[in-house]
Amino acid sequence: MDDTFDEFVRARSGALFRYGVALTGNAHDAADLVQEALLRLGDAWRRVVRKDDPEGYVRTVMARQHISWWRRRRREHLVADTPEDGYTDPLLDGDTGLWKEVAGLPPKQRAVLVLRYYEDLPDAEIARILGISQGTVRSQASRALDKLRIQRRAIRMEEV
Amino acid sequence: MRTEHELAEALKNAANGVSVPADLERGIADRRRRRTRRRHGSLLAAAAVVAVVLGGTAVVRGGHVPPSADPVASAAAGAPDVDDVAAARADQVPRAREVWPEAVATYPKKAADGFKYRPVTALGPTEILLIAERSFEKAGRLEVYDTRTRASRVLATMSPGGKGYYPQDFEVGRDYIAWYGTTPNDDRKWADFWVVPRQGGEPTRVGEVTGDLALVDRIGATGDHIVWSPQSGGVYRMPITGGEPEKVEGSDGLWLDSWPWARDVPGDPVTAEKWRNTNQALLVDLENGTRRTITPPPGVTGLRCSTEWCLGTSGEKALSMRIDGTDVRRPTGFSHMGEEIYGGRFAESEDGPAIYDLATGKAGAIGAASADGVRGGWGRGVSSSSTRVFYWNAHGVETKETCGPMPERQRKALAAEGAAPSPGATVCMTETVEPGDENEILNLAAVPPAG
Repeated sequence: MDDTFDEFVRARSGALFRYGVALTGNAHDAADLVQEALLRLGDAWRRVVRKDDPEGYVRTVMARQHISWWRRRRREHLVADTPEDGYTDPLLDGDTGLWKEVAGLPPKQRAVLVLRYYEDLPDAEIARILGISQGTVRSQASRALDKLRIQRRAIRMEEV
Repeated sequence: MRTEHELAEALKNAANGVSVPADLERGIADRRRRRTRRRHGSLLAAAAVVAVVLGGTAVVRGGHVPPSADPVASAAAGAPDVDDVAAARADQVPRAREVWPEAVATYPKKAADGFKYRPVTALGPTEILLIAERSFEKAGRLEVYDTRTRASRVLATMSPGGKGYYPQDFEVGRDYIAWYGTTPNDDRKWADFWVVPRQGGEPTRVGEVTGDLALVDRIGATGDHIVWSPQSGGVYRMPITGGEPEKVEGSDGLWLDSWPWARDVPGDPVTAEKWRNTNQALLVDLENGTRRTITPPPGVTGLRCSTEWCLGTSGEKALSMRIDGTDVRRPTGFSHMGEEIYGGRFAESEDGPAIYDLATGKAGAIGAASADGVRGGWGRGVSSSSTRVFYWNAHGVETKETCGPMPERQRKALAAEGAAPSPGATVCMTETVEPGDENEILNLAAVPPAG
């Protein structure tokens, strides 16, 4: 295996793990998500490196994987009734109430919020990453922000 | 109503509030190895080192961190692992504390206010430069810890920087301590440079650069300039009083090693894979123009030289020599050495792990130990040029196992890989716990001179 992949893993896995925590809401699922995504990145490494954006690739994989895992898990949940959702880490300062409410959002809404407010990405980029339209990004974000009782900036209100 | 800013803060706090699992990369390595084995039908050796490097700083997680959350990985192990062989040999290396008692000390993991300490390098035989971090990788203060008086003092308090801004590598110069910061998680090529007088004071923001000049390989400080090499090569400088960047005369095709020394290979082999095996052929003093030409012995690759010693690889084994080409030796007992020379004459061996003195042939084992003799992690100081400190948990490491029902997702994934855990199977996570409030630290500046 190419050494540069190992270097990438060493350099970026911590930041990717934190992004995974923001996406999934807990450390166990975040570790799982990062490991799975990096495994896939490893397979595609040469191709992705040629395109010069391994980080973007792996973050995209993680956002999509998060949503699809959740879908599958929900199905399993309905069939087998085996709740196994991770814990929420208690070591949080600030608005833990808000964090808990974020954790309760449907995964797509949550992914949109993470990409917009944690990753600071524009809606067009979020749409590309999640494979949905910009209109859907805006409507998902809008619904999520309403649920969380978050005041939108005026400019964004106009967009929506 | 809440604000969008509060949401951004909540996400950031949540993400930063969870510590990165020590076995995260081990898990990736295990998954990869397992698949490789399945594909090739044989057990392949894999590097034992799990390293976590975040935002550009290096915390090396050492060799034999107790593994992995994955039940199949341990079940599949049956053949002897090269790691075990290396570990057995490394067990014969005495501890660094026994080899260099004057050079191993302890320091607290945290400041009184809870800021976490991260060692940078040694300022002298008893002084360690520490970064105090208010949250992960967010430097808050520069402090000096005196290992003799066991007291620390604050050199500088750093301005917080904005969202996404991280101070990167620090470098100790004769008069100043210099560092730079970047926003590593965006695509912007941007960096800013800072200095603080070595005896302490108010940090000065020297200036900022964009484009390829902002992709910093190494940094340093002269009496009146900040100096750095971008990854693309050349050495540049900017007056501490402010001004435009300019190229240092005679620095074409050179990278900063540690001011005033520059060399014809980059400091960070990550920036260009091809440099890893390239031999260093030049060591240049940029202050007085002295150029030393280095002639590698036949068959040697990846040669790196300090002003006195060189370290390279020949026939997959480490090889050392003096910079004038005399005294060629193969350090015995170690299959592999790191690429850099530390403190002018030391090499880091990852089997063990251990530090090897090229001048005396002495080796001292570093890294935390666990009760079952398995070695835990160690860290390397995060200075820009090669560090003079290595550290590890003073009280060994323990493993903690927590078991619970296997997530259905994992069960299915395993089933798809040929294992067949039944529904309701249990999965156990092994975590590495580092008890106690102190780390041990090896200060290469305190090792007695050779001879």
